[in-house]
Amino acid sequence: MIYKFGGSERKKTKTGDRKSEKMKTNSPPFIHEELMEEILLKLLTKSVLRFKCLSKKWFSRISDPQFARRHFDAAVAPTYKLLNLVKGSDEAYCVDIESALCADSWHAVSNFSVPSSLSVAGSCRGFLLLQIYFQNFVVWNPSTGIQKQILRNTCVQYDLCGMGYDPVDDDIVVVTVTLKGGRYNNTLVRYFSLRKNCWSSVECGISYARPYFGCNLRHGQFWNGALYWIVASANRLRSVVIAFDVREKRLLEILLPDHLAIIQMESDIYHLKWPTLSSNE
Amino acid sequence: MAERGESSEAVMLKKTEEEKLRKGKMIVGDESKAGYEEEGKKVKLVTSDGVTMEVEISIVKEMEIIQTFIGATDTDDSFIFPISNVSSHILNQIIELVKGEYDQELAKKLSHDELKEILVAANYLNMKTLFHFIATAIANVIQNKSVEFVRDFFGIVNDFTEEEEAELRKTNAWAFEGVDED
Repeated sequence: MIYKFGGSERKKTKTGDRKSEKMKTNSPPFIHEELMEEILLKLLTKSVLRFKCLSKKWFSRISDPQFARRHFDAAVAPTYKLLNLVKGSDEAYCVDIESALCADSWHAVSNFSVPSSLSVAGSCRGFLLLQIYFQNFVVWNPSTGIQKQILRNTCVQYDLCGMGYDPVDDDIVVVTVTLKGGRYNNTLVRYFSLRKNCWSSVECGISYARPYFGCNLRHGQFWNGALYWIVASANRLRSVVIAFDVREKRLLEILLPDHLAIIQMESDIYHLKWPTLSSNE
Repeated sequence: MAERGESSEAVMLKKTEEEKLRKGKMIVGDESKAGYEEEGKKVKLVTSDGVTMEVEISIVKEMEIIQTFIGATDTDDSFIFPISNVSSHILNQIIELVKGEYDQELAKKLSHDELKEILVAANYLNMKTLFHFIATAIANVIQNKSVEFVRDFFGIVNDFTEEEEAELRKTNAWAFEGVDED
């Protein structure tokens, strides 16, 4: 957190300081890059993006994924944003719901035209998972405009899907799950690593969940390292929560108790956040 | 040779620790008096411009560089710690900020050069709370400022060609909207 600099540099600052005592107006104090980076980490994304133009050195320093990761983690509190995509145009508006109404952070970046058949299939660490025409995925960061199209090699309409984050590899992972049903059929999980830029798959044996035959993909909720979906059990009488551990790449299944039986297929999982008692604010 | 050197150092460390312990016990013996003593105690610091300043122990405690110094050497109240990178003017500002319990309103009264000097001093003295406080204060100053303002603020030389910069500005055009006038 606090930086030590090499001897020669320290000496340089020292003489610089002495000089500044004599001619205060002429030599402003020298701020080392590491210290300046600590300041930039405290800025809003919009300002950080603007300061990519400072110099070539700062362009590469700010573009470094390590900086992005530290910037995300340094944010004291998550910001909640309302996104308005104007279909059929390339307009996207973003409102920070916690900032003052007159704030100018309303404009999001989008450099692709928003298709008419688009749905938001997940969100995680500032990224949105968009799904276009039930087929391709686009991972999009509305704050930076970074976007990546992910083509699905197979097109199964009744998959489960979602997006999660692997903190160890610092990787955003897009996941689809094809439930096959039946006790002895393995379930196929395909996942796309943004860092590796490729699809991988893993077969997992789960016993209770019944294949999902809805017309849309079921969107999972990412929370605390795993993606969650709720589906019906094989005998249709109970509900099953399926969890995919994004780090370990494992599928888990939790059969809900009888009194939590939800026969209808339209139930979804939502994670709610409310302040804990130990909160300082 | 090296081994012997290490062991004698270890003995010295042990000795100072024992002494500290003894002092500690003495303080524990009379708690009410000790608390008073601790509070009123001042540490002498000599700044880069040669001024000797007596600073309250509660403030010096935040300066980890001096804490490690106190821990490593056998010092008494008469010891004067040199802080060769910090001027008396900046040390006074630091004392005001710590006493004011790090209120951003106080930081607003500081000049840009003072802010920068306090940042460098906080890093040198290893004052973590002050460092983050002042880094936040500088972030507040530059948050909505133009690229030109920030280049000037930190003395950054622009090495982009005009075309390169124009291209960069185009890719993140929205980030340049609604920026304060310098």
